[in-house]
Amino acid sequence: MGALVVAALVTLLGAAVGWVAAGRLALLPAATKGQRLARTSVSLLGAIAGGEIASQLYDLVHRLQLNAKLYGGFGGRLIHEEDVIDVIQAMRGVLFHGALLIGLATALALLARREADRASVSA
Amino acid sequence: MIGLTIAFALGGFALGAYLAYRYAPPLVRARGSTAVGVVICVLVGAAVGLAFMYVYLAIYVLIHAGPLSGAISSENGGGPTASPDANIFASAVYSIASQSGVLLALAAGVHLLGSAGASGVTGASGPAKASSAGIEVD
Repeated sequence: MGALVVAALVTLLGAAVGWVAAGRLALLPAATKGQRLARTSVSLLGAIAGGEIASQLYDLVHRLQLNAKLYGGFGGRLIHEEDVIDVIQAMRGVLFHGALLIGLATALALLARREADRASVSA
Repeated sequence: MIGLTIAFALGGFALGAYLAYRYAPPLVRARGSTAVGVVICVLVGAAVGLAFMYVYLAIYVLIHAGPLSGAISSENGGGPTASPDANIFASAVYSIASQSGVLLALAAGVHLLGSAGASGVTGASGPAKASSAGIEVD
């Protein structure tokens, strides 16, 4: 139960950091409804990316601790295999899913900024 | 083994990020282009890091066939009649192509959007300047 609460807190903390960072780095105006929607979407994608990365890293630490408790008495061979699978899953979560979400947020921010600049030039 | 797996992934990440920083086409100088450059470096670094990790893992599993091979090759590639080595190889190629390929394509898209957005709009008020080396801006 304690690990679940800590996992939720870590995920929320990562999501908050991602939300703030995406909102500040996107440099998007919020004059119209569409621009506010784009800004919220970019912040949301950043929050999901931050939460994903934080939760994967916490999950990795927790799984490594669990493996040490569960398989510690089997001569070390089994714990290595389990640890490697957990490390691969965590790396995949951080490097693939985290980077994918960050890239999508950046692409969305660039598109939204382009449209905002175009609207301000034509106005 | 765990340390080497992490070292390969992080080493590949650093190498990919540096290669993108050094050799990617220059970005135009515009508002926020530094952040775009950093994101491109992260995307390329993540793609190379994943590729390094899967290559290292495939080599390790091919050498030390054990319970890990079942966990790794069960994802995809090869049917029940395929040999374990073919399964492992196909799985590694599939993982690299699907994950690193998507990240590289996204990096290229972000780079194009960053360049086109800045040059297309700020060009109205003045010519945008490209940096001299790689993705380096400002």
